[in-house]
Amino acid sequence: MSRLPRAVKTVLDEPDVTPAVQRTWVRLERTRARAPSPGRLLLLSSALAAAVAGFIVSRPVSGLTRQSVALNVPVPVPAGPPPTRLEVVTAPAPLASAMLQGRARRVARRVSAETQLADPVGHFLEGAVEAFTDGDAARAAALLSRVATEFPDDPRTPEALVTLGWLQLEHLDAPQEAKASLEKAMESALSQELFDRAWPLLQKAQLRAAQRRD
Amino acid sequence: MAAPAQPARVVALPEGVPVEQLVRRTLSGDRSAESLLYRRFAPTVVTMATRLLRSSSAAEDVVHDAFIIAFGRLRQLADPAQFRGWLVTIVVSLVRRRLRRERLLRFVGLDGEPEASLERFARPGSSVEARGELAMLSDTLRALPANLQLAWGLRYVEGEKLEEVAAHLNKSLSTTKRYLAEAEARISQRVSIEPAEGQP
Repeated sequence: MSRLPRAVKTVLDEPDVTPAVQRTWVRLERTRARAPSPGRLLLLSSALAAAVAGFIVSRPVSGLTRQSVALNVPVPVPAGPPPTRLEVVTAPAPLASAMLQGRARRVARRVSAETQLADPVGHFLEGAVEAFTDGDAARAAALLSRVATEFPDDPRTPEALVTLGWLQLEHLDAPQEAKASLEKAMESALSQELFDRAWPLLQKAQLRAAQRRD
Repeated sequence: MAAPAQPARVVALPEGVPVEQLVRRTLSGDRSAESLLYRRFAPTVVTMATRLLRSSSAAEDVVHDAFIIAFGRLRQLADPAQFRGWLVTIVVSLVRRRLRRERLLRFVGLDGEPEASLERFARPGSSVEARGELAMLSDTLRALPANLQLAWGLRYVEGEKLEEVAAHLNKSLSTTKRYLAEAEARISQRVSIEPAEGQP
């Protein structure tokens, strides 16, 4: 029987990456062209600071004729609809959906703490995904644990529990805790798909927990 | 009417300019040096990322992000001669993030990025057995945790030295050796591969 050589690279062909290199360069140039320059950022932050303080320069300064502008004159806020605020609509969604929406939510997260409070379960799930992606399985498990204890009736909790069990079993070497999480998940009405994922994990957790006791 | 935007191009400059000089010129705002820096190292990291992720589109995303980070933080590079290693470390950390995310996506029942097998990269004329082993190796690697996949992939698929693998993973030499041993134990159960040095 032939064996694969240890230096696997020797049996691999060097792929032609020229198109990928060129495409990536074009994307790189576009991304950087869109990124605000430090000067624009400074201008933006100054404008933002002025707006937050409630002072705004309403008179245009034109050409070379520099006129004295009263910066300390508050501009009355016109009556009308409140200023548009970025709202995040957080319909209950499974963990998988929270993961797919993660990028959009990360952008929104900077905007308002209120939006986070509108859907704390979604917020914890996103936090768990972020933490796991960053390599912090313990923090991810802690966040999923909070979902399970603080929101037991949320429709996303069973999936959070199964994922918690998987993390505890495969990433945190805690089979006893994994067993408890998965058993708790089994007590709820799991979908067939979720059951199929949870059942082999529970068996594995039981086995490892028993070995640990012995 | 405004003239149509010209597509961005990688500017051709003489080859052989030392990397230290390219880094310094890039830092001083020389765009042609920057494009040469990109042109010199992008093929290496695109190839590496493609094989580590087994996905061309994911590799392009990673390399794009890596160069954005690298050019943005170029001043933090203490030794310009080490640009390649520094860039690979950035790429590896982005690949690791992606692998971890993919792993979680797969667990919660999403397929994530479509992955190809290492078999796809087999040299033309490779035997059916070799292709089969490569396919098996791909499947086995995919099931490993990100750090184990990366350690083994960097060491044996990319041919990096042990010390370089440790530096790219930002782990100690002993941790890296442990990762390699763990990966080895799982791979050798399924794939017929030459034993590592010092092993029967």
